[in-house]
Amino acid sequence: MNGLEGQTALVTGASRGIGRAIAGELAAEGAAVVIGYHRSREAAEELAAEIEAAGGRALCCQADVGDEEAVRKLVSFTLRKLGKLDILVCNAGVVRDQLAAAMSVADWDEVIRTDLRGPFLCIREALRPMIAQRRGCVINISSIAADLAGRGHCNYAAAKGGLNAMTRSLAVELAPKGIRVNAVAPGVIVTDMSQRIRNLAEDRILEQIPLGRFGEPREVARAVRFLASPDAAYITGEVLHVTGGLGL
Amino acid sequence: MSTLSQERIVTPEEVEEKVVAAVEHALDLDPGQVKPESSLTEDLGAESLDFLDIAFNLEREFNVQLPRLDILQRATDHFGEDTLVKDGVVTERGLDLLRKGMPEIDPARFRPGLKATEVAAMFNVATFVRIILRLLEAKRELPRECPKCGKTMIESEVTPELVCESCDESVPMPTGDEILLRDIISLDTALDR
Repeated sequence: MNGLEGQTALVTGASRGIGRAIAGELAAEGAAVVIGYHRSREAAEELAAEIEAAGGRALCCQADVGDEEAVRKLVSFTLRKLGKLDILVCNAGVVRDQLAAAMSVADWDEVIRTDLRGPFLCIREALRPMIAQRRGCVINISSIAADLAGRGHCNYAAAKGGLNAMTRSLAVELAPKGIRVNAVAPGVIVTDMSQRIRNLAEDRILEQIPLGRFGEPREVARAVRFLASPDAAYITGEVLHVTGGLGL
Repeated sequence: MSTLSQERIVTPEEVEEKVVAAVEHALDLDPGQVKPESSLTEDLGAESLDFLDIAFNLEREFNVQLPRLDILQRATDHFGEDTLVKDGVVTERGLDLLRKGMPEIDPARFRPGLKATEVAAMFNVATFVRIILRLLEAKRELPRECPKCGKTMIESEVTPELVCESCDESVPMPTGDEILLRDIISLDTALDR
C-alpha cells in the first residue's frame, strides 16, 4: 500500500510517542514528511534517518507550536523544502496534571498554549497553501479526556474539548475549499506521556477498557493514516476514538 | 499558476490578468466571466472564504502579503472609534477617505448613510490590482540584507517571504495592512490640508 504517494505531511510533536508513530506510518504510505519537534532534536533526526533508510523522505524542523513566529517558520520550511502541504497532523501536546484547587496558572496556561493555541496557529498557517491549492487534510490529535471526566487534568480536558469543537467548526468552515478537518482521540496509549497514570492506576484503568489492554502508538497512527487517505474522502468533522472502548 | 519574475517591474495589465485568473479559479468561473469592474460579492457572489482563496493565490503569485482588513477596519485603531464609522454608518470623513482611497470605485457610491459592512462588497478586480501594484512598489524598497548572517536574501517562490540562501533564515513580507495603513494616514493628512 502506498496510498499517500506524492503527498506531503507535517506532523508536530513527531519525535516521540504517538507523533513518532504517525510520522513513520505516513512516510511508509509514501508521504514526504516534516518531523516537527520542540526539544528532542536527536530523536527527531534518528526518526528521519530511519524513514530515509526505509526508502521514505523525511526532514526535521524545530518549533514551539505555541509561538506564532516559530509556526510561521515551520510551515514555511515545509513549503520551501517539499513544495506544498497536503496533510497537517497537530499532535504536539503537553500534560501538567494537578487538582484544580492546587493548579498553578502557569500549568493551566502551558497546556492551553501548546494543546489548543498550538493547533490553531499551525492550522491557520497551513491554510494559506491549502486554500490556494483547494485541497488539504488536517488531523488533530485529541484525547478521550475531552469526553471522559476524570480528576486532575481539567486543563488538558479543556484543551482537548476545545480542540474537538475547533475540529467540527473548521470542518464546516473549510469544506467549500476541499479541506477536511478531523480528529483522532486516543485512549490510554503506551507512551512516556501516559507513563505516570499507568503506573498510578494500571489495574483500575484496564478494568474500564473493554478490550482489556492499553493501546499502541501505531494503532493511533493507523487511524490517522486512514483519515489522511483517499478512503476517508467523505469524512470531515469527525472525532475518531481509538480507545479500546474506554468511555463507552 | 507560474510565478512572475520579481526581478522586473510587473505591468498593471499583467497584474490584472493574474487577478482575473485567481478570481475565476476561486469561484469556478469560465474565462471571460470576470471583468475588471466586476464586484466580487455583488456581481460574482464571492463569500469571505473566497476572498482568502483569491488572496492566497495572489500572494503566492506576487510574493506579497495582501491586507486582511478593509480600509475602514484598518484605520479605526489609528483614528479612534467613531471617527470614520459611527453606529455602523460611515461618517463624512470616512466617506472622503473612501473616495480617495478606493479610486477604482464610482465615488457616487460612497453616499451618506453607507454602512461600514457594505464597503467590502464593493471590492472589484481593480481593487485587487491597485493593492497589488502598491505592495509590489513597497516591496522594491525593502532591505535585502539577512538579519541573521548579513548575506543577501532572495524572494521565496512558495511563501510571501524573503529567504536567506546562506543560513535559511526567512523574514515575512510586510503585511498589506501595515503598508496601506501608512498610506491612509498620509491620505488623511492630505485631506485635512
